[in-house]
Amino acid sequence: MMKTDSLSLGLYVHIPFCLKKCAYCDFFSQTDYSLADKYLSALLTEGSMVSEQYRERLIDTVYIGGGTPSSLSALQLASLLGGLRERFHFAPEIEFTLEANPATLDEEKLCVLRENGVNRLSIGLQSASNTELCTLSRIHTYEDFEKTYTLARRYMDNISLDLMFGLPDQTEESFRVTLNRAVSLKPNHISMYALKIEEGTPFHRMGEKLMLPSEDEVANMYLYACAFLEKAGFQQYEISNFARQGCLSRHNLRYWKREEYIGLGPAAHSFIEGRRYANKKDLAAYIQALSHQEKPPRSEEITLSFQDEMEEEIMLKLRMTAGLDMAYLKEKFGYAIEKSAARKIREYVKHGFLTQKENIIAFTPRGFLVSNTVIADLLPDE
Amino acid sequence: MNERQSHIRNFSIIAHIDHGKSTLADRLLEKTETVSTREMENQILDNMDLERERGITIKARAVKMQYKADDGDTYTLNLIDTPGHVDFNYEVSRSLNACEGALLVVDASQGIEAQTLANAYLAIDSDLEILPVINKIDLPSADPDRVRKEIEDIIGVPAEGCPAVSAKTGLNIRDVLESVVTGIPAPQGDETAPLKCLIFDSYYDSYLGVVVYIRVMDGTLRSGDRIRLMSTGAEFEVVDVGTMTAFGLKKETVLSAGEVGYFTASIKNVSETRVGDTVTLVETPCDEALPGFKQALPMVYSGIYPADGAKYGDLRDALEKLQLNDAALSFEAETSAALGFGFRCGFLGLLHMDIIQERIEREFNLDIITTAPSVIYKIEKKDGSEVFIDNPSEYPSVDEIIKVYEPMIAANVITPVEFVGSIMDLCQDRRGIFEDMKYLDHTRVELHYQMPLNEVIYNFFDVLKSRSRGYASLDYEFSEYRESKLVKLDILLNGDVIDALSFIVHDTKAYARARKICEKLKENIPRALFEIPVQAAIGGKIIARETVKAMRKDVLAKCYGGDITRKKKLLEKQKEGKKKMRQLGSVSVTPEAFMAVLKLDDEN
Repeated sequence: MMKTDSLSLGLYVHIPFCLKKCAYCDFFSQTDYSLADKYLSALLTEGSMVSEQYRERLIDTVYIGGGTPSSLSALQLASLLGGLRERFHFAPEIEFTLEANPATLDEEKLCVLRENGVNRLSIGLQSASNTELCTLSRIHTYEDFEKTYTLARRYMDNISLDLMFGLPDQTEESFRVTLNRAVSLKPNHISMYALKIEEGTPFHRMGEKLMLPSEDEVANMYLYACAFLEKAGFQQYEISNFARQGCLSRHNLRYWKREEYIGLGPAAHSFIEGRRYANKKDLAAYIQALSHQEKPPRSEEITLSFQDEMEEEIMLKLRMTAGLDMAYLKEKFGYAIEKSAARKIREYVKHGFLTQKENIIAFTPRGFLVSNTVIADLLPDE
Repeated sequence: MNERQSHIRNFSIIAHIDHGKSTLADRLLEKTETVSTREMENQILDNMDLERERGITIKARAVKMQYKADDGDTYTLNLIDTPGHVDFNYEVSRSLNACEGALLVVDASQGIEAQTLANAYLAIDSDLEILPVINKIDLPSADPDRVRKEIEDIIGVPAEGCPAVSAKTGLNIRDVLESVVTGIPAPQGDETAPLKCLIFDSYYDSYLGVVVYIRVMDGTLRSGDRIRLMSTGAEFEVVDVGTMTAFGLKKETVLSAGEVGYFTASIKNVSETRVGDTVTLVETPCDEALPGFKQALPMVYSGIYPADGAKYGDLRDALEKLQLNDAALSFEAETSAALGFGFRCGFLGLLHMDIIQERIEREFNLDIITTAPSVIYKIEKKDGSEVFIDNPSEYPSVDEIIKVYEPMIAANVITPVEFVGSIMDLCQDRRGIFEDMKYLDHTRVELHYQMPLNEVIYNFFDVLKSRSRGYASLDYEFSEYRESKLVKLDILLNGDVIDALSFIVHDTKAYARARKICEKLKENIPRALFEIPVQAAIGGKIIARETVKAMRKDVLAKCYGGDITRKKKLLEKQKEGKKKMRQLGSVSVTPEAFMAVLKLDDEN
């Protein structure tokens, strides 16, 4: 069992194309699809290089994200997915996710997905309010989403929905409506992200003109959602993620459990053999390099130090409701956080930000809201 | 009077800030070919960066020029530049004493201002011949005739036919030089009498030791002479004597009565060579010192702390180096529970304080935190003792005090008529006692008030400027200690008294100030995970309260697509921010927030 684990690998594939850029999004994507075919072939070339290098590794999670992977044509999807299957060794019980946006899926595409082993869809709903969807400059209405969802259900047993809160003009009431509708559709999984205004996005440029809900309202939305989803049978397992029994996202768990993964495509991140690296956010340079059978240009490449690994362990484990095992931390890194940060931990537990059960400390929903501050406080000083 | 002295003119230039004193000095140097136009770096006399930026002269300077006058003779003109600001009043008066005359520079459109008057009176007190010079006549708004009349009416100095110039363009500069030669008396010292020199400035040079600027009143001074400084009795052997050129020191064999120059004598510290002191010979001393010597005493105190506690030693070095050249700066170590190790520093006034703080930051590259300025209070205690307190944290408890006295100043404000009402309100509000009001002409008024200094150091000048759209000017001098009803206001964060934030305030103002400072703290203290009560108290009684609400949510950055480094950077930023925080009791505060609270400068 240990052996299989250490040999398994996650695969992330980035599709940097969207029909339209959303006003809040700073992920790497573009609306010009003219390079799509060239890109897909470059992607498979990078896939060949990686699979060559890690030939013996069994891929047990795949996540195709973006951008909007579902906006590729059925033909493009078929060649991408087929190409990946040819190059990589997929585990039989693989979790194979594709990100989709409403109004970009049809039966033909869904057939292609299913035939090629995709067994999980992550659909970006974001909000059930059409006004809010419009503000986000999403290309779909809530009704579009419902149609897509109903159709997709016929092909997929495992569907996750993405929701957002803290949106311009959003109220606690409108968010409750969104949650209700989302839950009534009985998805397997819900991801719920707080809007963060990222530099370089239209929202950022709007500055003060953007009517964002107050900090109190946003905090209330989050706390309400945690309780509501729990009651509806969705167990919270990470800051932003909730799942029905057995439907936790195995791919995303890799990130937080510090298991290895390889990312293909520009802006994709990899973590393997103690190194973290990312491909540069440059589509043309990516295609250019791979057309010469060269590795794509990297934007960062870090070999983690002992200290880095320990900090990651603390920060990532605490993102999950399963929490941080302090005994494990001490055993693996020789750092006794329960001693060095004893007073702080006691204080946070007392005020209801953390819970402690024997060696495990974990955030409460209230704690998740301020987890940055708390984690920064708990990290050891150099 | 001998032939030599009849060809010497010692003079200074006095003016309100920005009326063009330094520019005029530059033109005089140029016209006398002391420096060529090409060599001319603007405003050679103000050679400290800070001075050039602020357009003010901080330390006195002197320069010697040769001028061939219309009568065919060549004259030695010694220009002694003086600081223009009230904080340096004493230094001005000493510099003036080294001269026989002064050029009174007045801006042709602005007319007479508070500092013009203050400095003109100083010059009159020193029996100087005053020669008005009207400057900036190139400006469209110039009205030299009106200003001439103003000078005659207000200062009582004839201004008919006085030079009207533009220092900027160089127009009529020769008129100024001619009037110096014809209008200012030659010195009349006795070369054969015992040596008597006035120290009007000194600075520390790491090679020469202290360089002392002097005016020889009587006698002669040569290298090798044994001299005595009369206020301290300290004795030294003169190494060099010489004169000041625009480009540095020039050695001479002798300095004689009537001349201006320098000497060095391996003196280690400027505190030995106090401005206003008299230098004489050990062998043949003069009978009595020149009158008017006093030690410059600090009027305003504030705590200076390194932003980074580890830089305490660097801060000490910086203060020591600054003190080498600034005998008026005093400091001693102090400890604050809130700010750690630092120094209690004494300054002549607010400008002096500003300059020192800025020089520490600029020249020594140190980030500092300064506490609110305080004046010196005199307290009569029940145990019969009398104490002087310059630090609120040393203020005795109420039941130990019989009487408290605070320093009062005589303030002189000159303002255009339309702002009089608003400025009188301000002075009233600052507990000023109106003395009199005088119309300088039909557009401008001079106001005299007795005011508590502790109100003046609390952003008075800024408010004065903003209420008068920049037109009002202020001058003041210490008058007396007066009994007052003062209280010590303590600020508590999370229940702990923060010593660095305590201050002394008049009873009638305590509530308003307490509320204001609590509000300001509430605005500026970064929210923490727990609620923070902010309170103000007098002698344990809470008189104001605000609450910094707890932070409910920070950035919920998603950890998406496996981009762990981005998330980590966010945390590192947070950790960095935490490191910069100052711990005030149990509350973390950014240094910026701390300063914002101390400044409280948003008042109309």
